Amino acid sequence: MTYSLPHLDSLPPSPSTDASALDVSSSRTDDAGYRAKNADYRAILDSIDAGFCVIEMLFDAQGRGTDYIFVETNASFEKTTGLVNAVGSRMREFAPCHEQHWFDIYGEVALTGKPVRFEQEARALHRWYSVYAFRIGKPEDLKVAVLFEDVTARKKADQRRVFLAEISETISYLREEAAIVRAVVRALGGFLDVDRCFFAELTDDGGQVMLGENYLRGAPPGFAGSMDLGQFGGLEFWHRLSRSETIVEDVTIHPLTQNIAEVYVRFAIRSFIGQPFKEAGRVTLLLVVSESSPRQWSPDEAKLVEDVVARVWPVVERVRSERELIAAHAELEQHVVERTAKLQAAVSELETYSYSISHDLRAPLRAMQTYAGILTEECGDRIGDEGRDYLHRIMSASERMDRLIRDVLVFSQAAHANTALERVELAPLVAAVIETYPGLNAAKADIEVVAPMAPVQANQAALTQCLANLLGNAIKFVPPGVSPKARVWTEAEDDRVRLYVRDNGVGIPRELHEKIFGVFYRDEPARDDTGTGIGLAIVRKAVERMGGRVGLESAPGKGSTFWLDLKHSPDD
Amino acid sequence: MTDPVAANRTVLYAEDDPNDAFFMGRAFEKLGAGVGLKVVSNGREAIDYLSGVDEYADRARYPLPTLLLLDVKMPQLSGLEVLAWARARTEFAALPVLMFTSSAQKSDVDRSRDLGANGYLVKPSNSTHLHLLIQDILKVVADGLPADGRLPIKENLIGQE
Repeated sequence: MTYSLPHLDSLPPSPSTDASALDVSSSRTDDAGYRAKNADYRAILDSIDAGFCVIEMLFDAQGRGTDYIFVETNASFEKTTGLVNAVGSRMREFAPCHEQHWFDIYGEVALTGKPVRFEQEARALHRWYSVYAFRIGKPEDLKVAVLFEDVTARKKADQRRVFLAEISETISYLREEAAIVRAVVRALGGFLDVDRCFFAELTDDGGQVMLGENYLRGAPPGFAGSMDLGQFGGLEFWHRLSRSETIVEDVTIHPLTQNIAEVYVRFAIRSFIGQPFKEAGRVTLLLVVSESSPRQWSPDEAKLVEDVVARVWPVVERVRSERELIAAHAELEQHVVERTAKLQAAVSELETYSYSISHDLRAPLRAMQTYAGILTEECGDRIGDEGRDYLHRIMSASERMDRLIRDVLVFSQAAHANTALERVELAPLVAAVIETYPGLNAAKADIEVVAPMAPVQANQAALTQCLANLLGNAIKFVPPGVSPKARVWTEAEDDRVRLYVRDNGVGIPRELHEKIFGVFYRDEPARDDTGTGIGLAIVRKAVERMGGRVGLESAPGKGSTFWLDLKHSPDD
Repeated sequence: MTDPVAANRTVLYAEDDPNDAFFMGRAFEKLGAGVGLKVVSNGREAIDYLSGVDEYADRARYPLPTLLLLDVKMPQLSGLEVLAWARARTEFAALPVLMFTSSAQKSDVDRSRDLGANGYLVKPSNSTHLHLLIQDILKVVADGLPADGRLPIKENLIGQE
């Protein structure tokens, strides 16, 4: 703040003298005109809010300012400084510890005549001042006029604002609740210059108070832990504290604490401020600053504690939420891991189960087949043609049953087995299938493979199974008297590769195009008793597991073209 | 017909299914060429036989086998356990062991290979196939295994992959 009043050094000096109009010791006091003028200025000085005084500097032998005498004061002086009847007294008499820099500054002004403007704290007076000082009278008089204003309130407000901003800044980098609490109690305890500062929180069962790390003046932090609420007045007392800010200047006098004051005194708490933080109506914690002796808490101090709580607690809450979120996330991941493991165990058990079923089903079947074979061999001539025909039927039926069991197994594998995808070159794969599978070799079928073939993302084993089944079907279902022919080729489109298998077979009517992919679907009437009706179901299941699709174009008498869509595997 | 060389050769077959044991016995009668077949009904007995426990101490009646045929799934001790037991003993470390079972479960094939089986055969479902297989096995009994220690027939699932 600056002064709106005219500064005395800007007043027109008297033409007849070099002394200021305010020089009370001036030889001109006998002059009536000056007296009248002086009286006017005096009235003006007494009417302003700012404090004003004229001081006479005292120096030591080294020329350093050591003290000053109050020569004149205005009406606001007493209110602004708290010093009564100052005129004629030395500053050191009022404030022996008044900071040296005051004497240095005024000494400089008195010696040099250079006016100064500054803001400075006067601890002895518990105030901050904004000061304008200038030399007055003759230089050898060593007099300084001081115009000053008490800016303690603004200064303290500034400091609190800076303090709050720093606290917010500091804790914004912290991720742990304990670190936040530590930083806050240290900063606030130090700033308010109290004996102790801590957060208190009620435990869930309400019987204990959890104390965060304490700030203890001049001592290392400590005292974190829980304390029995009972001795501090119990839950009722906590609720009373929680309702609103509690300011206790002396626990032995305050009605809230006087009956249990000795407990507080034992813990070196004679006066305190307790500031609750409420969330959704529920008190979650108290921030407490305390003093081991009675203390007159200022409204500003109480407000500061309130502001700190308001700033800190949301951050603590956020950190807690983050921690809970992380914990919940970890728990979720753990759940996923467990579920996956269980699922894998279930799949693995299912596979084992399938095998064990196949094992158990096939053993008696094998016995039936083999006994029928032995019977044919050893007693064939005694049971006649009809008997041998029945035995043959028994053997064919059980062989068919055996194939069914094996195909169901393959299907269950196609549905559950791991189908990790890799880059698969189709040409060698098709060649290998044709070479390996009986019935597909050149003597029995004419299969044309059109090169080149685009590489695909597929599972080698699953794709082998699909191709074997498709090619097997292609050469199997031919009209009587027609030799089977098939053609295999690929067409690449965007990121997909379509693999075609075309045959010259009987063809499939439109209404069956979907049905044939079902499990146990068989062409009726069965022209071929070696089929189990699972082949295309396996193909569809395997292709789907590889992220592809299967389909066909076919009509009776026109042959069939089956296709598989798979993901193209681009060259690296 | 009795091959003088084969006369003192024996195959030990551990099998809990009496039908399969019967078929094997019958096939050996037909094709055995004098090779003896001893059948035990579980893994425990197979180990007792091999160790010469109690009655099996009579090696005139229960000669040590030239080849071991093991069903995989058996009560008491499985074929895999017998295999592991045999391979841990120097006297049986080189004994040809063939697993002979109903299902070609990959985990069983892998485990058998890892434990040192010389072959893994799926039981054929008719006597013609069984006879073909046994002829191959008898060849091994007569001539021993090839240098790679693997039963040299195409049905062998060990070494196919």
